[in-house]
Amino acid sequence: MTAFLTAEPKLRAYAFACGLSREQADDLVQEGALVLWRRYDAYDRSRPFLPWALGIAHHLIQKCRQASQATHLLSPELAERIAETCTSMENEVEQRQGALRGCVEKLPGHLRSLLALRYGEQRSLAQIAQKLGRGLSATNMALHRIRQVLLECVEREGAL
Amino acid sequence: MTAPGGRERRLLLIHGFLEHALSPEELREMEEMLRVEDGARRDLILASALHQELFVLHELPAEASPAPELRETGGFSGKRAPTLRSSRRLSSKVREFSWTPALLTAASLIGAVLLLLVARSDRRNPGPQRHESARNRDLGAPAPPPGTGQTPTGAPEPGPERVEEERIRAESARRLADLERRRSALAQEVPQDSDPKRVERQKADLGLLEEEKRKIEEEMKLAIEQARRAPRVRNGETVTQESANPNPGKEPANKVASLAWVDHVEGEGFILRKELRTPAREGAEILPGDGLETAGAAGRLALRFGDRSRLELRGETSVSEITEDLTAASTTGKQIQLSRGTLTAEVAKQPAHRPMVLKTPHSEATVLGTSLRLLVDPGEKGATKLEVHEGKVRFTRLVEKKASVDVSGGHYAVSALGLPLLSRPIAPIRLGTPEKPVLAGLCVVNAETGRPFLQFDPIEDGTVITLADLPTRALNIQASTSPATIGSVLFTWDGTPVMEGRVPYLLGGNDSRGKPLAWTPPPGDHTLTVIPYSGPPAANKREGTGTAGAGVTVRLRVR
Repeated sequence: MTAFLTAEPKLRAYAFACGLSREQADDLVQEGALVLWRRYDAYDRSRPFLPWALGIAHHLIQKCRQASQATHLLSPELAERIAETCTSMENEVEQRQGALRGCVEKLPGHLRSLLALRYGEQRSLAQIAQKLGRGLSATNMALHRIRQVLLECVEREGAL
Repeated sequence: MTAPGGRERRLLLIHGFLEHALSPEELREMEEMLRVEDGARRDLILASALHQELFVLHELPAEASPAPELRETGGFSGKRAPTLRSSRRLSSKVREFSWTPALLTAASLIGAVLLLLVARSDRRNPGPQRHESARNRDLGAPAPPPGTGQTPTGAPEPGPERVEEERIRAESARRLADLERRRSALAQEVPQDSDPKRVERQKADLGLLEEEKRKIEEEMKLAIEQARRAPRVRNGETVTQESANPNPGKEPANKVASLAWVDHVEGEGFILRKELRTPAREGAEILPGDGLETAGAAGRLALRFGDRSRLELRGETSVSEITEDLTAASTTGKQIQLSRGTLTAEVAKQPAHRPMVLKTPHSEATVLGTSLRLLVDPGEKGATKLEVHEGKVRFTRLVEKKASVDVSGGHYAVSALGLPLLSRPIAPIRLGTPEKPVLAGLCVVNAETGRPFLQFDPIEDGTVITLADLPTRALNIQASTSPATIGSVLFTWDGTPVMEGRVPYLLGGNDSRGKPLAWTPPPGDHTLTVIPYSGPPAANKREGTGTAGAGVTVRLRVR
C-alpha cells in the first residue's frame, strides 16, 4: 500500500486543483482511502496506481459537487482533464517535493510570517487581511507573489 | 507558447482560485484557459502541489498539534458529520510505519471510537483544548468587521500598547531563561584542580551573570514604560497618554504631543530639531517639524508611529521634516519630506480623509495603508522611485508635466525627467546557486557615484536613455547575479563580446578598486545580451566556462 502513500500528496493536490478547500481535501483523502481499500481487489496491479486513485477521487469530488452544488468547483469535464494532466506530471511533481523548505527559508521574514498565518494558523484571506490591517486584494496579491517566487524556486531547485 | 505576462495573469487566477477568491467572471476566464492551454493545466497542478506542500511544511509538530477536531457542519460528502479532520496527520504518522490496508482499517475504526469519545467530552467541555482559529472556522463564525476592536473569537482585542508590553515581557522572559541556563551550567562546573584562580574566575562570571540579569530586568521596565508613554491613535487621531487620561496629574497641559518615537538605531542616526543635529536614541520622541538623518552604509533608523506605522531610513538618507496636524477637523495626515536616500514604510491603515503623504523633490506618494519603499536621487536631474509591496499608492510626478499613477502591490514607478510615468511590475526575486547562477538584474550606473540611476534600475527591454536628462555622461552598465559572486559574466554589446570575471560585473569595466570606469554609450539603437556563467572566462575571452545561466537580451535607444 506504499502506492497510496506515494499518491496521497498528488490526490490532495488534485483536490485543491478541483477547487476543494483544505478541510474538504482532508476529507476526500480519508474517504478515498477507505474506498480504495474496499475496492482494492478490483485494482489491476499491472497498471499504474495513480490514475486509478485519481479516478476514484474524481468520482468523490463529483458527488460532493452534486451534494453541495458548490459553485467554486471545476466542471466535471475540466476536472477529468486535470486528472489526466496530473497523471502525466507524476514524476515532475515528485521531483519538486523536498525543495520547498529551502525555498521558504530564503524568503524574507515578513513573507514567511505571512505564509505562517495562511498555512500554519490556516487563517482565511479575510482573517489575514484583518489581522494585518490590509485590504483583501492586497493580501491576496502578496500571497500570490510569494507563491510565484516559490514556484520558480522549486522549479530551479527541483531540477538540480 | 504563452507570453510572460500571460503566465503572470494565469498564475494570479490560479492562486485566486485556490483561495476561492475569484469572481464568477474570473472563474470563467480561468476555466477557458484550462480548456485551451495545456500550460494552464500544468500550472494549476504545480500551484496546487505547492499549496498542499505548504500546508505540510507548516503543519504543527505532533506533540504541539491540537487534539483531533470535530467538524459539526456538513462533511465532505454531505453525509458524514461529525468528521475526523486530522486525517492527514493520521496518515503522515502512519507513514512512519509500514502502512498496510489492515492498519488503515484499524486506524479508521479507532478513529471512529475516538470520535465518539471526543465528541462527548467536547460537548461537556467545549473549546479549551481546541485550536481557536480552527474552531471559529468550523463553526463558520463570521469575522467581525474591521475596526470593531474584536478578535475573530469576539474577545476584546488588546490595545497596541498592551501587545507591545506583552512582546517586551516575552522577549525579556526568553533572555532571562537563557541567562538562567548559562548560570546553572556555570554553577555546576566545579573546578577540577581547585585552582584558586579558576574558582575566583567562576565567581566573577556568576557575578557578571547576576549583573546581566538585573540589566535585563531594568531594560524591560524601561521599555514597558516607553511603550505605555508612546502616543496612540484612536478613531484616526493621535492621542498621548496624557491627553487620554482624564486626570493628567502634574503633567503640563500644553505639552507638545509627539508624533512618533525612535524604534531602532544602528550606526549613525540623527534627529534634526531647530538647527541641531543630535544622535538618535531608541525611545526618543519625534515632535512635529523634526527631521531625521542616517549616514554611512551601516546607518539605520526606524521610527514608529502611534498607529503602528513604521518608517525606516537606511544609508545616506535624509528626511527634512515630519509633520501631522493633530486637530480633529484637519484633513492633513502625516507628511514626510524625504530629501534623499532610501525610506521603507509599513503604513497602518490611515483614515480615508487623512492619508499619509511621502514627499520628495520629484514626487508625492499618497498612502492609505501599505508597504512600500521610496528611493530618492536628489537634484534637478535626479529621480524618485516608488516600489509598492502591498496595497495601493497614488504616485504623483511633480517634475515636468504633473501626472499621477496608481501603483499597486508588486509594482514600481519612477518619477524623473524625460521618463513616462508608468506602473511596472517588479521582477520576481531570482535565486540561483554557484553551480547554476542566474542574472538577478541589469542597471545603468552613475560612474561618478557608483550608484545605479533609479530610472534605469532595472533596464527594461526598449529603454530609452536621454543623455541630456542625466546629471552626468559618465555611465556604465552593471549586471548583478545570484549568487552575488559567480564565475563570470558575458556582455555582448551590438555583437561585440566583453567578458567580466570579477565583481562588480560592468560592461564598461572598472578600476582596481572596483569603481566603474566612465563610459558613454553612443547615440543610436543598441542590443545588449548578458549571460552568467558558473566558471571563469574561457581562454578566448569570448565565453564563460561551467554552466551558463539564463541570459537576457535588451534593446536600448540612446539619444
